[in-house]
Amino acid sequence: MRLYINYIYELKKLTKILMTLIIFIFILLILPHILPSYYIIFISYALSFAIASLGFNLLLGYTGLLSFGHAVFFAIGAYSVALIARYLPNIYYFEIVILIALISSALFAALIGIIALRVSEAYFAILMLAVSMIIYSLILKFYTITRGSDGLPVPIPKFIGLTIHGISQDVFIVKYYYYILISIFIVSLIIMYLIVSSPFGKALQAIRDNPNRAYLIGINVKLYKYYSFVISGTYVGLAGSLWSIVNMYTSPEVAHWSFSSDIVYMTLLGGYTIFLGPVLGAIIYTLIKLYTVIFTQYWLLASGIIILIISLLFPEGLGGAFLRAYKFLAPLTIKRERKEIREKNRRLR
Amino acid sequence: MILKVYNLKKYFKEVRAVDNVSFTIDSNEVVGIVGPNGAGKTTLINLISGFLLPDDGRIEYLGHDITYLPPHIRLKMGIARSFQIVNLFERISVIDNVIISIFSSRGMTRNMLKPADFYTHVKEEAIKILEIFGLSHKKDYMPDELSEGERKLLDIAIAYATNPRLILMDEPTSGVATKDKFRIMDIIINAIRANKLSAVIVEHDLDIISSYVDSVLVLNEGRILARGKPNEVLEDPLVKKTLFGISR
Amino acid sequence: MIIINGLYYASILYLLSLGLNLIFGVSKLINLTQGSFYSLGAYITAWFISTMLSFYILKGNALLISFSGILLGVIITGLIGLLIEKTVIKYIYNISLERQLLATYGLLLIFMDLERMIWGGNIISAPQPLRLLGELSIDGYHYSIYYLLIIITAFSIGIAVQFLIYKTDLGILFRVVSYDREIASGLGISVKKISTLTFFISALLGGLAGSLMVPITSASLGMELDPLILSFMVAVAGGLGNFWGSLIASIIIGETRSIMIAIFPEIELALIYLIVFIILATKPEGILGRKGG
Repeated sequence: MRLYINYIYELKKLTKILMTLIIFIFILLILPHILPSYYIIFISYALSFAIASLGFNLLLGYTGLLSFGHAVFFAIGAYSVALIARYLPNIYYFEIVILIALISSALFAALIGIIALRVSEAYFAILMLAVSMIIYSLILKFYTITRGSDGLPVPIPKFIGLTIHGISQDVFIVKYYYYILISIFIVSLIIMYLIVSSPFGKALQAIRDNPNRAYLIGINVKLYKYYSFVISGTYVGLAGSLWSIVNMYTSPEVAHWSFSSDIVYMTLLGGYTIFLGPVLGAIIYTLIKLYTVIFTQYWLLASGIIILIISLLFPEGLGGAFLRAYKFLAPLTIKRERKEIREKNRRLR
Repeated sequence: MILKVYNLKKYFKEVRAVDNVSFTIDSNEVVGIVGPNGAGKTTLINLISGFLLPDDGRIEYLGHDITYLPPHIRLKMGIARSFQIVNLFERISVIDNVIISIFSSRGMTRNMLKPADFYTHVKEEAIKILEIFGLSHKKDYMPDELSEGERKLLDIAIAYATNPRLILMDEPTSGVATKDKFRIMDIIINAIRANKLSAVIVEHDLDIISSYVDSVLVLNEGRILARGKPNEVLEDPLVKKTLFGISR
Repeated sequence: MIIINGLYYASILYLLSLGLNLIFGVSKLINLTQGSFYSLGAYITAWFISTMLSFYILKGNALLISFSGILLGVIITGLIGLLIEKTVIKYIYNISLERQLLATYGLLLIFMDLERMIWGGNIISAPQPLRLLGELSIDGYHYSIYYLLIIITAFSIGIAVQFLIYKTDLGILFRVVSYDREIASGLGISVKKISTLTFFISALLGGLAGSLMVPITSASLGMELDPLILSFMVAVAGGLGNFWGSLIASIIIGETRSIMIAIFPEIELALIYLIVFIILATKPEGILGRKGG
């Protein structure tokens, strides 16, 4: 009997989350009819960054590993798309390039992970930085292939089963790509949610909180860190590939450490201790990036100050701050759960 | 005979932390280990649980030679331990601390796509364990919201949740207010007897030891001074002389 | 010549890692801002020397100006370090590793843009000290005296710090605090003051490294990143808090870099990162096989 009630309870919780999700999707779908296209493009950027920070946070917020070089995966995703567009235009179909980008980032993560995870935490952060800067210089160096600092253009891809003729890239993004982004974002979100709430996700959190104890209760710490690393790298790679199409262009900067710091920054901004924090952070980051350009050229200064303040005062980021202030935004908080349990127990008696 | 230790030696340079120790533990037996500071009690626990490897000697568990096996293999075989300084997962809830222990010791952590909350039987088991340890009413609290005694109980509950046959506890009541020590030991011993576990408890407080354990091992400077029933051993004049100053 | 090149760079790395080691040993802080001290020292020195020497009148005292410039760079950087210790750093001592890395990283970014604000995006050169000191000729080989000066300076400072830590009463205070802050304050030691002093010294060391480096590489934006990463590696590889370890590690890394530049000049850009990667890939425990970080 109790099992059954528990199950219903969990189902109710899930339904609530699903409802919120559906409302969110609905809002996203309506926006193009309300807002000018400039905003839609902005949201498209935000959605691709959100996928990146979501993936990055699996490593940082849930496994406790900080990497200063995750931009490398973003670059791999972006350049996979751009290089295929340039050299293999016959297979330049959206479905294909995205798949290739996913596989490349996953493979790269799988390879690098073997080396990167053998070292201690502080080394790991630096090692990833080294890796991304090596790739950065490789991109610059092989000018004949990658066009170096000139970057590569990313044209509208063809689609299997859908033909789009003669429209400008802006219109393409607003009329078609936006919806594709939303779907992919939602799917990534759901998958990430399943991952972090699964037993595997709990194991990662145990590793984050106390790697020694985690080992002593039977968790294969090294292996799980590796899985987390590969998944996060793949997410960031996916984000990079999606972004490149919105941006219509890619350049070596996406592999540079400053972009890695942006990824860290947006994850932090929204709060790396809660699930949706990074998504919020990505949105705010995109906003700030677009607007500070108007006010100041001192992007590093602004980010630096914000990173400093958040790491000192708000380890839970703005998302965490919101969570505390507006309890009804979160599906459930402890107080409500306790209240519901008390009521449930009352009913049982 | 669940555990047999033969001539165990562990030296740290000139310090003989464990010096030729031999003893056995029976199934369902609760053994207390006492001794002055530096007697080698924690080192012994570390050797049995696999944290440290001995310089000489042998450890046999259920007939298998586990002397050089790593901790996670010993865990699979049924040896779990708790810690003197509380060792919890601070950023997940109390019940999640136990749930993760259940998941990982049963090899269920490979699952990446089914929310943990849907494993109702695991949740049920976790709640049962928390009930044994008197923590079920605080299951959704965070570890830092618990009292020190409750945190120690949680530490032990995590080890308990791995379904061991032998549980090693290093000073389970240290840092706990004296008036709570007995209550905590009641809970711990209850939990142990309920599942017919064997246990090794390192303790400083002799009153605790005498009230709860089946037999006592007295350690001094890495060597066994005495071994036997609590009332016999603790009345021994030599033992009294060695332990004088730490008993209340 | 390659060897001397490697040695002078090793000296610079050594100074930086000394600062990192000190602050980690005493205050358990992973301080990425050490890189900022490097660039600050460099910019101040470069700016001073190039500005002063543009006045025709002062051209005669070039050597004096040069060394004043270096001294100035060191002192001002130290003071800046003191300032941020008292305002910001003291809050960073007790937080978790990731947050420390993030917070000091934030500071690094802030200083980077502050440098851009003050000195613009241009490179400021001050090669005078290097040129003026000339070269020493032995057996037909030419050794730059300035390089030798750097090596000697770093070595002496290394010895001085060792002396300070192990042979003086003040050094005892440092060691007690690094061992256990609680015990130290229980003994009546002002942990705050020691922490501040340590940070100040670290900043001085960082500034010195940058100031000394300026005649060779000039001051430019982002110059601190490579040395920071390498000195971090040196500090951790040699064992955080271990001075002799960092000495050996800095020599190894400095020489490796020097040799690789000589053999493969075209990969200069990625070079440092390649070195870091190779070292960590082959010896995850660090150069001396010690656990660190």
